[in-house]
Amino acid sequence: MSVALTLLLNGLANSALYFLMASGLTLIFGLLRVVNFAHGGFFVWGAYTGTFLASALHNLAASIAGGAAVGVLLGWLVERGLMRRLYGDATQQLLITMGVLMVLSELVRLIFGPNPISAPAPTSLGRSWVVNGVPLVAYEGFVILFGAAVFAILQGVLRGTRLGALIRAGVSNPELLAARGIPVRRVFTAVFAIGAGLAALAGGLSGPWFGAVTPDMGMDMQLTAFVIVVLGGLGSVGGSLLGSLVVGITTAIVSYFAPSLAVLAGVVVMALVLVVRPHGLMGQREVA
Amino acid sequence: MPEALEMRDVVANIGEYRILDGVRLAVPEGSVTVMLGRNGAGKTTTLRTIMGFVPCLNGTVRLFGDSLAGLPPHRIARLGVGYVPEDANVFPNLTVAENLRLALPRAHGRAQAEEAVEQVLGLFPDLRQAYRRWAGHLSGGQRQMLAIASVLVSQPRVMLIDEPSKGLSPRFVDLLGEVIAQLRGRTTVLLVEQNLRLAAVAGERFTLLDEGRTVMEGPMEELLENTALQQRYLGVRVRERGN
Repeated sequence: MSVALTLLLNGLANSALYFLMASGLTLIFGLLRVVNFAHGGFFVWGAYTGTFLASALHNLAASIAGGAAVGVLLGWLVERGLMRRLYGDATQQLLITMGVLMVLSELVRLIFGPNPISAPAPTSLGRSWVVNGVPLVAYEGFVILFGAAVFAILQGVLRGTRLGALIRAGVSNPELLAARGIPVRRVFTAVFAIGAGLAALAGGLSGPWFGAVTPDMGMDMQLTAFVIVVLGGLGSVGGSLLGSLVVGITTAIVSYFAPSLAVLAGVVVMALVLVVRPHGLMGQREVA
Repeated sequence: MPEALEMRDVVANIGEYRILDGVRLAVPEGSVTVMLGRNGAGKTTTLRTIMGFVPCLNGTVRLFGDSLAGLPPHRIARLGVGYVPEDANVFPNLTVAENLRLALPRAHGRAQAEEAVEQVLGLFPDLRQAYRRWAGHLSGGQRQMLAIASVLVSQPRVMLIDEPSKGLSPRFVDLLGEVIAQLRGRTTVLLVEQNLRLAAVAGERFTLLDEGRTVMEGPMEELLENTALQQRYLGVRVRERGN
C-alpha cells in the first residue's frame, strides 16, 4: 500500500510538470496549428534561468517567475521573428521550430557547459517526512499544488475572461475571429508567449525535481509532452490534464518496476487510446 | 454621395484559378441588395474579397468611398463591415452569450453592451431562451440566427450575408426574410442567396453574377418579372402556360 501511495504521489508530481509543458503546447497547436518543437527549448531556458536565479537570489518565487519571464520573452521573439512568416506552411514550421530547439539547447550548452548542473530544492521545501511508511517530500507536494493551481488559473482565464473567450474562439475558427474585428495575429502572439512561459515554468520547477539541469532535458520533455497532447486531444487543455495524469502516473509505476521501459510506456498508452479514440481522450473532430 | 459599398472590375484568384473576372457592384446605403447566380458564379468569393480574405488583384473595392485595398480582415471589420459566412459562422465551443459579447466593440461600456445584446435578442427570441447554451448545441436555424445576431450586435455599417437559408426549414427561411427585411433603412445589406423566394421578400435590388462577372444589376422587381433571366442565370424552371 505504501509503495502504491508513493508511486501515486510521484506520478502526480510528474503529471504536474507534464501538464505545464503540454498545456502550452496544446494551446499553440489548437490556435496556430503549429507543431512546436521549440517548446523544449523554452523548457530548458526556464530550467537554467530558474536554477541560476535560485543560486544567486535564494528566492524560490523570484527564480520561478524569472524562468517563466524568460520563456515568455523567448516565445514572443520566436513568434514575432520567425513563426509569423510561416503560418500555414507545416513543413517550414517543423524545420524552424526544430532549429529553434537546437539553437536554444546549444546556447545553454555554450553558456553553462555540457555537464549537468546541480539544482537543489530550496531549504524551505527540502524537508521530508514518513507517514505510515509513505515518504512525503515537501517539494513533491509543492509541485503537485503548483500544477493544480496553474490548471485552475488557466481554466479561470479560458472560461471567465475576454482573452479566454478569444483564445477558445480562435482555436475553433481563427478566420471568423478576424471577421469579428479581432486582430488574430496578436492573439497568436499572446498564446505563443503564454505557452512558452508555461513551458519555462515547467523547466523552472523541474530542476529541483530532477535534482539537476542538463542541456538535453528539453528534448526528453518535448517528446513526453507531444505524447500527452496527442493522447489528451489536440487543442484541449482539459485533455492535457487528463493525458498528463495518465502518462505521469503510468511513468512512475513503470519506472519502479522496469525503469528502462518508462518512456515506452507513455507511447504504448497513447497508441492504445488512439485505437479506441482516434481524436484523443478529449479531442474533437475537425469542424468543416 | 458615395455608395455604401462599391466594387469596380474586381479580379480575384483562388490558387491559380481565376474566380472573379470583372465584378462590379453598387450597394446604396440602407438598402438590401441580393447577389444571385449559379453555383460557382463567384458570389462567396466576392464577399470574401470584400472582407480581405481573398486578395483583390485588380479593380477597386470601396466602403463609403474609402478604398479597402490591402487592409487585413479585422481592420475591414472594424471599419463597419459585418460578415456572416455560409458555413462555420458561429463559435461552437462558446455559449450564445459569449458569441454575442465577443462581437461587441471594445469601446462599448457595460450598459451600452447590454442594450445592444438586448436589441438583437428582441429580433431573435429563440436566442434568448438558448442564451446560456453552447452554440454547437443549437439547431441549424438557431445557429444561423446567432450568426446574424453576432454581426448585428456590433452595429455594422454594411452586412455581408452568405446564403443564410441553406439547409433551413421553411419556418426559419420565412423568419430570416422578415428579419432581413426589417434591416432596410437601418443598415446596408449585401445578401448572397439562391432561394428566390427569400430574395424576393428581403431584397430591393439585385446583382446577377455569372462566371465571375456581373451580368446585370437593377431593382428586384425587374428580376422577378423576367422569367427568361431567371431561367438562364439561376436555373429556375418556369412552368409554361397550358402545360
